[in-house]
Amino acid sequence: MKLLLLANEAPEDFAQRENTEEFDQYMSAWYAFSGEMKDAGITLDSAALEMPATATVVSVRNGVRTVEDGPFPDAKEQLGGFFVINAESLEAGADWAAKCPAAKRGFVDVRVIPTPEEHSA
Amino acid sequence: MKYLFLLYTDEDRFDDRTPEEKSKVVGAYMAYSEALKKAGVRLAGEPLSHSKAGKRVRSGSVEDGPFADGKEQLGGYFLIEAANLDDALDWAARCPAAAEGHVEVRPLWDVGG
Amino acid sequence: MTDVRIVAEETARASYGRLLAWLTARTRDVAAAEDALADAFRAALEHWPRDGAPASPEAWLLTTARRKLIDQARRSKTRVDASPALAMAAEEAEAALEDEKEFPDERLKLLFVCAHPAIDPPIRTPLMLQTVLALDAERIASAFLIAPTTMAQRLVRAKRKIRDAGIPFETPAIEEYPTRLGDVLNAIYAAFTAGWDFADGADARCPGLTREAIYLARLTTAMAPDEAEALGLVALLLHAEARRNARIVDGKYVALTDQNPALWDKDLIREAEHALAHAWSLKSVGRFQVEAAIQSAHAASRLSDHDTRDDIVLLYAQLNELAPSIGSMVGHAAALAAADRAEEGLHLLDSIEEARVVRYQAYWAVRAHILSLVGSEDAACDAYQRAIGLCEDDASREFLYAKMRALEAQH
Repeated sequence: MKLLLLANEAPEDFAQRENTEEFDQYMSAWYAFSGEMKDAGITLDSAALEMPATATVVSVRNGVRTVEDGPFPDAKEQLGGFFVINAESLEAGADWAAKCPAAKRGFVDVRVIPTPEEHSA
Repeated sequence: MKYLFLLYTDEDRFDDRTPEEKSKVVGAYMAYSEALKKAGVRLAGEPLSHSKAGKRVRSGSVEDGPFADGKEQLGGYFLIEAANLDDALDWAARCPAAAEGHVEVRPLWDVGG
Repeated sequence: MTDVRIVAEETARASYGRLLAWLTARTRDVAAAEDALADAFRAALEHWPRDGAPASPEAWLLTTARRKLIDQARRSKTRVDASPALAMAAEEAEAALEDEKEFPDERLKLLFVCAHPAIDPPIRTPLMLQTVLALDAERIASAFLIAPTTMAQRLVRAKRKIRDAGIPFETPAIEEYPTRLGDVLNAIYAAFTAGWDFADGADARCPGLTREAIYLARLTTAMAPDEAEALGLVALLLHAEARRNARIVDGKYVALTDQNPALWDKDLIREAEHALAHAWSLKSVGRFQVEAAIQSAHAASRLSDHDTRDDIVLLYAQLNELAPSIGSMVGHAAALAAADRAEEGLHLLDSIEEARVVRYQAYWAVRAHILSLVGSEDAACDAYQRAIGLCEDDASREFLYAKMRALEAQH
């Protein structure tokens, strides 16, 4: 099944990105994790996101637009990246999520991507 | 530049809809996705199943969905290529999720790897 | 909102714009003048709607603002600061008030500064909205679909440019007046469309800042009463505004041809017609007059049962010569289709490069309509899909779905 892993990082994680001393350590943890999934041949897509402060939120109500500085929702942990993987089960996906660096101080959501048939049903 | 659109909508409201209403909503998303494709800006995009079918993993704990983050939950995403943020926002406003809920626009981080 | 409240807010806004124009003209520092007036304006918005506007709104605002300026000037003796200059300008303003009772209105000069050639065109309209009408950056950002931080940064940069580049605060010389006024009018028009690629020109959905645009356009004609294009712009905006209540009924978008004219605001239409007649009498034709004439012809055809379809085609042809744009071409095509010349309309649409219309919803909606008229149902459905995919609001989405379903039911 196709799963989406959403790496929600803690403020401390994002801070590491901007700290020259901790940057390498931060990156190598991510490379190790993504490398392991790639070796297992399950990664379909993945991307890292810029800092949460770069987020912008758009909504339209009755034809009137609102543009706000993000992120949405305004929580402590914020999305820092995602992986689309092909896993045997939701549990297998959760096992991968547990290894994700973001799970240490933040959390990782595992969400199901429906098949086209499921989706239109 | 690449931008991720995170589509936040009230997922319970979708479940409450009649089949006819649902197909209208799905149709609107398909038309939007097609417009992105025809403009040559769509890189990827997926809908998500209800969050009750998902899990939240923290160090040492696994919680079953739905999560108590608020009424609007992530219901899907699009990944697009745009010249700049202004253009990305112009596309984001046309996403049906903007009228239904909110679309968060995030630039991708080019890690260079 | 109650009428009293609207009047009080409009008075506050008008006085704010006048004072800001005065202070900026003397210091060139828009940001500092805004800071000086911000608290006073906020206080006005709080008190006036409740207690009624004061006899001299400017004097009220000045007294409040000047106290803060003097305070600020005292605190910032050591660094370069605009507050002493501002305080002096404020004193001068108070003297002017005592002498003449009527405060000099320099907002037109402020509009010329905002739309100065040295200012980046996309930021001209936001600058006008903020300086003349005191709109906040968030509201402007939303209307133009720009991230609020980005909008705020661009506004700051533009204001710095006004201060540092020495942009003159004056009415342009006679030889460059027409071009400069054209820039001002274009920027006002942009507030009306506010980043929306609005429908087919025949009936703008105008979800933009129409009321703000009307305010600025009326301000222009009040201070330059014999400028044909300014009058044309007023007429155009008023025609669009007059149809506001007929355009969206029960959350559904209603096309111009299906609107109930009883819901149109006849006073606004009368004012529009009056402005347009005055404009034509000045014998200096321009795009806004032609656009207003198109709206006028639409109104006439519904209100007096005149067949104006051929007139509208001719006007669009003229518009395409004066100011060609994708919008005017799409409008022309729609007008041709309405005049039983669908094939020609389609031909015109085909002449537009597809790369230019990938995000232009009106193009696809008009294309779908024309294709259905010439019997290409499948292609029409595809075009409807494309238009639906580019909609921003449910009302337009619904509208196009209904048309597409009707087409599918036909065959």
